[in-house]
Amino acid sequence: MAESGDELSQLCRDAASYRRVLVGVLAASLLVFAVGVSVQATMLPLKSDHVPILNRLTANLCTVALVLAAAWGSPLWRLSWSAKLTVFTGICLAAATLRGGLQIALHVHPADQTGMVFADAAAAAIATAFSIGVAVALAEYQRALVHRTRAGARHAQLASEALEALRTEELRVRRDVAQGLHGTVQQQLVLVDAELLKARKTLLAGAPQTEVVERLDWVRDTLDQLRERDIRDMSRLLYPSGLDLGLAQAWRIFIRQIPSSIEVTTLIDDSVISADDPACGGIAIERRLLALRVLEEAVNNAIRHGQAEHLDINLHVNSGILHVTIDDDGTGPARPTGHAGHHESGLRLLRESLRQYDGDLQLEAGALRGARLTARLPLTPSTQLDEHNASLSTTP
Amino acid sequence: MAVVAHAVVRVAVVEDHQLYREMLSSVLADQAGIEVRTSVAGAQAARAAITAGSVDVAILDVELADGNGVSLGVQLRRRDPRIGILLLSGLDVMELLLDLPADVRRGWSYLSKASAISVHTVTAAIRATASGHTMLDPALVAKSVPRKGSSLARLTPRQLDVLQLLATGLSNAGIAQRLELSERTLENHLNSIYAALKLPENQNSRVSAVLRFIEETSHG
Repeated sequence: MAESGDELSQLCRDAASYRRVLVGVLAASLLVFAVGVSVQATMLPLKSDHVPILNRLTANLCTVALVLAAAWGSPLWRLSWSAKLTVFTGICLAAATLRGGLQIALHVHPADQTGMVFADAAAAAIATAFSIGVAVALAEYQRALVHRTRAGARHAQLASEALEALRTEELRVRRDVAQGLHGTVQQQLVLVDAELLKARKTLLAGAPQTEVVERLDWVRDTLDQLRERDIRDMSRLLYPSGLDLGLAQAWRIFIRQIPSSIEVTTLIDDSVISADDPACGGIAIERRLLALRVLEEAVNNAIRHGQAEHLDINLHVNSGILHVTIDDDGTGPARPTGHAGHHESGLRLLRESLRQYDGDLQLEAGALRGARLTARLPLTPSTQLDEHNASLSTTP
Repeated sequence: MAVVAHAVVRVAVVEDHQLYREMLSSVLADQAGIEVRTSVAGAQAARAAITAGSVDVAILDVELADGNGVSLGVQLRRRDPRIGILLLSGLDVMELLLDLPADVRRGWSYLSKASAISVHTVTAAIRATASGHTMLDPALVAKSVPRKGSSLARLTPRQLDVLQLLATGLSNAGIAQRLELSERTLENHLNSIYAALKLPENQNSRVSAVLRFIEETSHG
């Protein structure tokens, strides 16, 4: 798998750190053994042999040097446990052989006392194995600690990015609602007011009732449209209809708002209904909202930017993961322009939001024409963001 | 979903808006053939008050202070498969009936508080629901437009008229009378509609047709 420059340098730093801890602990442990055993053998000779301490020390220190060099030179941090075991066995055997050989060469033991030589060689192997065991345990512990700390920092960063994305989204919604209230709704109300004034004047002037009735009918129609379209749209921006009732319900409500001139084929699999069954607790609201935003973004992009006339909407759950597929027959995905337009930034925000829940989103050209949007959203709480949401929901 | 055998339809009203609840209960109590057995404000109280076999139809507000009418309806139906559910909502969202769990999908009706519903409409919905039919809000049905490319869009205008009246909970006799047809002609229309919509077999065709009506129309 290709790794970025940052990841590669991180791996190198981790390897160096692992090796430093391993070799450092190994050196400290083996030196204590080497010096201690040499001093002990010189102070308490078994027989009347007077071997100089320097000879014993030389044999032991050379053995320690061999072990340290082998440990330093082996890529232990990236070996499997079975490979590690093979390397360690080799090092222990090499240490035993070298110590035995040096002890004979330096006359620590006469060559004919093979029992003593083997005993000291075995002691070297055991001391090396023990030291390696302690050193590896400490190096692995340090590695796990670093990984845990790094994972914590990464989750904290993800949570921070998610909150930032939420703030951005909230600002966008506030701006859209403000524009809607200040623009369309206010304009319509001004027109209604003007029409009512005209109706009043017409009434006072004693004009035929039909003229007044026509004006009042126009006012009723305008108010009805205002309620049906503009107020509903703004309300949806603040909190989509049906979100509390279920994911499928919220999707259906949105899909029914799509103009009837657009051909829509919808398949909401029973697996979604089962996953969202109130008897099992249903799908968490924040996940329903995210899945709905995916649908809204796909439909808006397809109709507004892709001039699509047909949509295929598919929603199903498999192994605890919600799968969304939306195909359209429009002009296909827009090429990235470098400066993010509204729909590009919308997709980017959605990708970011999905990533917080270990999900993802892809937009690609359709098999024949148009675009295909696919998204995955795990439904089982697992991320730090879930814990954050859970803590918010339990806070009084 | 069994057809109610009682001459009197026993109803429960679950509505968190006190004035609306009291007015609805009071109006229904004055209707011949309807008996209000329970009138409560929330989901929890409803679960306690409505026991299996105690009412024929539960009228549930969709948005309750301590839950929602859809979840409550699912729970009540699982406890009592004979009970009919009539949802009342201010949201104009009859599509709520489309994605109910498979085991409780039959015998639900929907009325919108936002459309100008009358006592006659509510009582008609109660009776239709008690009889195992699905009734949709007539005002919302009238505003619905068949979606381009759908099987509904391929129906003839006459077939669409029949389907719209079916969706408002009218019986065959009621539809025939409204369209000035003989019942035999109406049955022919219904069969051709069911065939054109390719409704799933082994399911109540009337209910499936109404659900297909919701699925393949837009708000207009």
